[in-house]
Amino acid sequence: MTDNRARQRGEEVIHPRLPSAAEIMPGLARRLGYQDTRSIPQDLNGYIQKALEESLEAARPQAVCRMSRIERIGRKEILGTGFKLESPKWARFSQLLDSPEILLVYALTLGDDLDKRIDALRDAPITLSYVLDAAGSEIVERTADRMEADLWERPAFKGLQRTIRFSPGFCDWRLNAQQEIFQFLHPESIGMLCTKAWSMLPSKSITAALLGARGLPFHTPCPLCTQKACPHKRVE
Amino acid sequence: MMERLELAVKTHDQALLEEAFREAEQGGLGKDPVLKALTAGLDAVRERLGHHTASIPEFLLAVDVLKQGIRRLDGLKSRKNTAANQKTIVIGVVEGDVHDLGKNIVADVLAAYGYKILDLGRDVPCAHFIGEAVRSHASMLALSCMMSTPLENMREIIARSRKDLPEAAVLVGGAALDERIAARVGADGYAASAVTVSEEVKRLLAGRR
Repeated sequence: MTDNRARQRGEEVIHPRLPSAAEIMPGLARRLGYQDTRSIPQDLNGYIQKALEESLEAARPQAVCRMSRIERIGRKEILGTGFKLESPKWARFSQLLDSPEILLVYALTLGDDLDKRIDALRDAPITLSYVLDAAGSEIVERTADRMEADLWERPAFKGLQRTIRFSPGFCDWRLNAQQEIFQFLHPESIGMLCTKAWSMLPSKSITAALLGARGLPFHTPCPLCTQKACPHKRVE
Repeated sequence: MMERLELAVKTHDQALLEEAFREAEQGGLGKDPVLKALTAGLDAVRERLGHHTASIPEFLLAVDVLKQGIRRLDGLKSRKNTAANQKTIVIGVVEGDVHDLGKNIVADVLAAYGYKILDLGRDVPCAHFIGEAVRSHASMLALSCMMSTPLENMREIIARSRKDLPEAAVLVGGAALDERIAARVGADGYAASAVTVSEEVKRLLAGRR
């Protein structure tokens, strides 16, 4: 019954493929403070690889995604069917795109097995918790990349280019927009929760939106932005 | 012997630590010089981290070896009652925030430096924080917050601590803060990372009971 209602609303539960350890390792090395995988000291390499394998084993990726057709772009918001994205910077950026047509909104989680594993390590060596946590963060980001690429192969997106994903709390999209995403996607169906302070549980989860348009001059509003010290600035 | 203890932490070598401890026990070495050698090892790694010649995992591995050493300290003689001289730090993630890895690392680093840590966990309500700080006669409250939304709860805990525990210092840290925000919420100090936290705690606790 619940599944039927979700389907009618256009929500789709998917089980994204996990990236391989080799795909995750370069980003994990950077998260741990190394320039690249070759910079990792030999005595630590095995330790990190083992922690990464453990994180991959604990990860159970699931996502809910839903499309929203763009109806209007205002000065401060992008209005799609059933979903409003309030971000003046993304609205201004959207106006420069060639025929922006859709917003793809999704919530992705690795599940709570990894959180439980890290919690259980509270009295164990702290290094392992740290590396498992960093591995989880990298896995969820790379899983999202792969899921977006897979989704974009579908006929619904034919002829459309996609922007990078953006999430509440980044750029000028307020963190409390999590509430609107949760109302739009109902990711509780895959075990995701949002706290009063808008953080997500399980902790290795992502909520995001991306735009599909016929043509993109660039993939983010960053080139239009005058803010110099933005920690989230993406260089094209 | 002291050099070997220091080297064991510096190179995060657990086997070497065990060997050096056995020698320390046989040689009748006291707790204080051993603790000094162990923390010197961690300081060396911290310094290398500052010069970008070591990484966070290497620093944490050294913390883990130092913690292992601290557990072994009980087997050694002490001229003074170390536990009675330890200053208590009550640490936790403020209510509304569930991200606790950074706090856990800081708690372990401070424990490694010999402070008595009372870890209240994550999502800690103001009343619980203050109650535990008063009960344990804390010298310091260390509050963590990774998100901006619970900053108001952090401000409330600090304001309450000024009334109920005026002699305690307040240290804050986490992704939601910088020095400017730390001052704005009323904290005495700001810890930018687990690497710099021991220096900041030492500065704040200098001259306090």
